[in-house]
Amino acid sequence: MASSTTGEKKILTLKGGDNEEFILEESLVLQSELLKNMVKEERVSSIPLPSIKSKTLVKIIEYLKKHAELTPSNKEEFKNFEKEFVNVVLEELLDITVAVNYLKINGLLEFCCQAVADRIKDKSVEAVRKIFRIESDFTPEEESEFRKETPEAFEGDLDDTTN
Amino acid sequence: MEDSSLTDPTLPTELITEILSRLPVKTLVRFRSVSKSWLALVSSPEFVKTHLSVSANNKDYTHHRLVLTAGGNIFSSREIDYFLRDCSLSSLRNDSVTEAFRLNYPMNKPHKSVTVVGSVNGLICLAIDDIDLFLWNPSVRRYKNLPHPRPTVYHFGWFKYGFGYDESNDDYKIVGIFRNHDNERLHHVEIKIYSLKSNSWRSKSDIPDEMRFFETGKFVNGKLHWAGELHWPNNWAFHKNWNIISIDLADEKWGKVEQPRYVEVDFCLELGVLGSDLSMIWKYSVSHADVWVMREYGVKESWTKMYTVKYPSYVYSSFIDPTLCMSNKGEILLVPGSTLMVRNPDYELIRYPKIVNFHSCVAADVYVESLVVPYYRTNQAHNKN
Repeated sequence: MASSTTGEKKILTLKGGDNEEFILEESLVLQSELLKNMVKEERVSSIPLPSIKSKTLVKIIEYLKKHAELTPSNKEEFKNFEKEFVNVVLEELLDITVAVNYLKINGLLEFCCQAVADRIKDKSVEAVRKIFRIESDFTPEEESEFRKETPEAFEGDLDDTTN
Repeated sequence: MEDSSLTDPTLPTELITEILSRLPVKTLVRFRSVSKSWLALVSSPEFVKTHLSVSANNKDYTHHRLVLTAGGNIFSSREIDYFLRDCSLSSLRNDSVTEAFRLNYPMNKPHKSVTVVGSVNGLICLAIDDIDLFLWNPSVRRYKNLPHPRPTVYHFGWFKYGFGYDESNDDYKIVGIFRNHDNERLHHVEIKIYSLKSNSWRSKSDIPDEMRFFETGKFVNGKLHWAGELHWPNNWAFHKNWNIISIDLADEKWGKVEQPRYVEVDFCLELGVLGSDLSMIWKYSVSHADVWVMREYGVKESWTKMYTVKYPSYVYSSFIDPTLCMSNKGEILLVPGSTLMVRNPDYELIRYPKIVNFHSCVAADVYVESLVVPYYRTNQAHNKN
């Protein structure tokens, strides 16, 4: 009977929210604290991730592969890859960030949060509400009070777009 | 096809905190009005702390600014205009031109002298005409006018202060040293300590021998530091007897910090803070100064000579100030006289960043933009500027 040799790589299947399956080497997913614990404790070979869109999962797997190949000599190339990685519409970036937070991929989480922060830094209050799907629970009087109290924070060209 | 039902519309609070803690103060002040839950989050003491720590540890100094003090030329007979301006530290380091902005500080009057005593956690301690003290956060434009220290040597005195944070008691403290001008005898020195929590000054009776000729205290590792002279130079000769005196803001006990060994003829020593380390600039008479840093607090052997700085030809040596900051590439920012200078470690290349809207300064201090307010929730009225 054929037994697994030391050189053989363990294979794992990730199932995205729309039931698409991704087959990859187990060593890659160890960068995720969540998946690492699942693989180590429960010895599973298939992990369903119903809350993560396949499109998002594709991006994250792409990152895991690039990150695994990171060496001191291709640092610059990796930095450029990271920049391109977050260069997507804001809604998609938020999906990725939420997924990365859920999967607990720590280095990438910090990078994504910084990218989101950089993107919303100059946004208007109205735009931020739309982006994060928040309903205002302030009265119009309370809202104008904020503007009166701290006019400097509302000065300048604020960005009303949500992307 | 995109299925938006797959996305949970509300992000977990810890993720919102992670994102918001990376935003500049101005943006956060605006985003307080997004919703009641965002207002509560941004105003919570935990968030203020998290945001401060993310901003303070940013390696690119994105959230650091430089406050420049102008005025105070004692050699000029003209009336002097005092004012403060500030500019972005990362811009000074990276851009060829940086813009300075006029700061509207408390008790802002052109003919009253203004001194930046120090800055901790985004709070700046200001002394106006040496005796009116303020704790002020320029980023959120909040300040508190502190009670008068009422030293007994009030007239013709020489007042120096140090400002720091007592982490164990979550309290901000100011140490005031009040010295009589015309008599250097010890009993004419008075020391008082202010605590923001109690909002009052207390006298401190034990005074170290070296308390004679002090600059502003430098805050490192929970302690304030001064370079103290052991013997008063009665013939005004320069000599070697310096000590570094510290006071621990938690237990308010005095201590000493050992200095590096040095060999050359001494001239003048000044303490500074580089990052979170105590630094020292050792000035030689005409040509250069050595910058030392204590890499590991309290360990004499960890004093490292970082640089020898050659003075620009027009700068008189005693006007060069300690290094303000150092980038991760090793570039340092110095204030020789009335200009700023960036020194590259690789070669003797010195850059003088151009600052629009600013001509000269007598002092420069680094502060971090924070949401920390200069009062406790329970105590007294506060002010907005």
